[in-house]
Amino acid sequence: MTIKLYGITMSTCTAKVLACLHEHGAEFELVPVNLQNGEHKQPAFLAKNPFGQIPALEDGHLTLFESRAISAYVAEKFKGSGCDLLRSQNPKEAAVVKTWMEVESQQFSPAISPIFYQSIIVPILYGGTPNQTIIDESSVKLGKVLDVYEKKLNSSKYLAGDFYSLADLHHLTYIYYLMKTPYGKLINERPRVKAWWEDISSRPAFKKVAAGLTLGDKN
Amino acid sequence: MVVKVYGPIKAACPQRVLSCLLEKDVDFQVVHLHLDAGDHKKPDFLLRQPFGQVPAIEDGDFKLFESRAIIRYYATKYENRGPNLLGNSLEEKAVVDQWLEVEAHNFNDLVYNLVLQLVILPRMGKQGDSALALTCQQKLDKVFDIYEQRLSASAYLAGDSFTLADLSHQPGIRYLVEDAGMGHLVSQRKHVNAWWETISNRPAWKKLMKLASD
Repeated sequence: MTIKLYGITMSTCTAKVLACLHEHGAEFELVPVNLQNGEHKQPAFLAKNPFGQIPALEDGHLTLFESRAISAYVAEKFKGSGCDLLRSQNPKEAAVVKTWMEVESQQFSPAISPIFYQSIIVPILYGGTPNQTIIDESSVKLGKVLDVYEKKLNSSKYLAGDFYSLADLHHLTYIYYLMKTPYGKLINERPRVKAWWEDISSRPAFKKVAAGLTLGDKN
Repeated sequence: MVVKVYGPIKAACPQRVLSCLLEKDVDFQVVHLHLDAGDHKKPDFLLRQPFGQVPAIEDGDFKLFESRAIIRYYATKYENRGPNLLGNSLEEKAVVDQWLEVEAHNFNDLVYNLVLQLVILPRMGKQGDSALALTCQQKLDKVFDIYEQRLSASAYLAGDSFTLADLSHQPGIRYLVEDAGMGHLVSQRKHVNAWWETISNRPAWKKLMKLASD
């Protein structure tokens, strides 16, 4: 039975899971969810994710939501396929991967998501004007987080060590969108962060996903 | 060798780790930090936790930070000791992970902001933002409605056993109920109330509460 992923290709959270699925060569079906029609708030979808957010995953009897839990499940399930994004055979390495996954979740995303929301979602989906104060405040916060990354990437090629892991992957989709805005300079101004970004975004699995991250593209 | 846990024993995120260590009967030593003196922002602590937040742990020569990563590490390391906090199969573990993510993304920020406005800022002699507190409370109401629905189908968030998903909520709910005057969010919901009664009466949590009050 094939895995079903409910979401849309241009969503940062859906794309996070897509990147993980592609890294493992996992077979899956993407089932689009019509956000404009509020499909994610309808009973059928709420039965998959009671918080009414994409993505959700179905694999046999298992239904999962929360993109980071879904990607960790995929990484664990398909770890034998030559891809080891969780380092689960080495408990200490696995713990460091989980630490930097938490950093992405607790430090990085809260700083970058308001920039994404104001500079891409507000003008494109709502036809509104970005709140520059929010962008500026978040840029300062994101800068401080990236300063920590710059220092960390001085001692290892990737965030959790010299191996690519889920901790790096979880950053891909937000940074991809950031680079479409003037605030991509926050990445470009930091040489090790920039080199890390160029490395992880050139992975074939991510290139497949990036093709779908079309918010903000001029048609 | 004891695990050193850096941070105040009364703070929520260190308590998340301490609850887990107590559940697993792991010896620890709390290394107190004075947050109001800025201990957590000083250079030697930033070497342990570059974002200047508590907790951090030191276990021999192994160091970690981020409370939810730390509890996952110890729950895995001592999987066969004490209660199974992770689940058994790949699928069960994924559901535990899912509800841990729910706590981190749908619950924690609301509780943090509510407690900041209603408890922490006033304790510091500052004015809390009551409008923000109200917004957080209204959103938290909706989150607890979802928890109520979930807990009507299983005794704990991830299934029929206590796991990290439940444990991770202990410090935040304690703040809501005992410090922020928000106990009604829990007590007005039959299944959430029963769940909180159960998880807050676990011996490990009660031992932590005693240690924190000494």
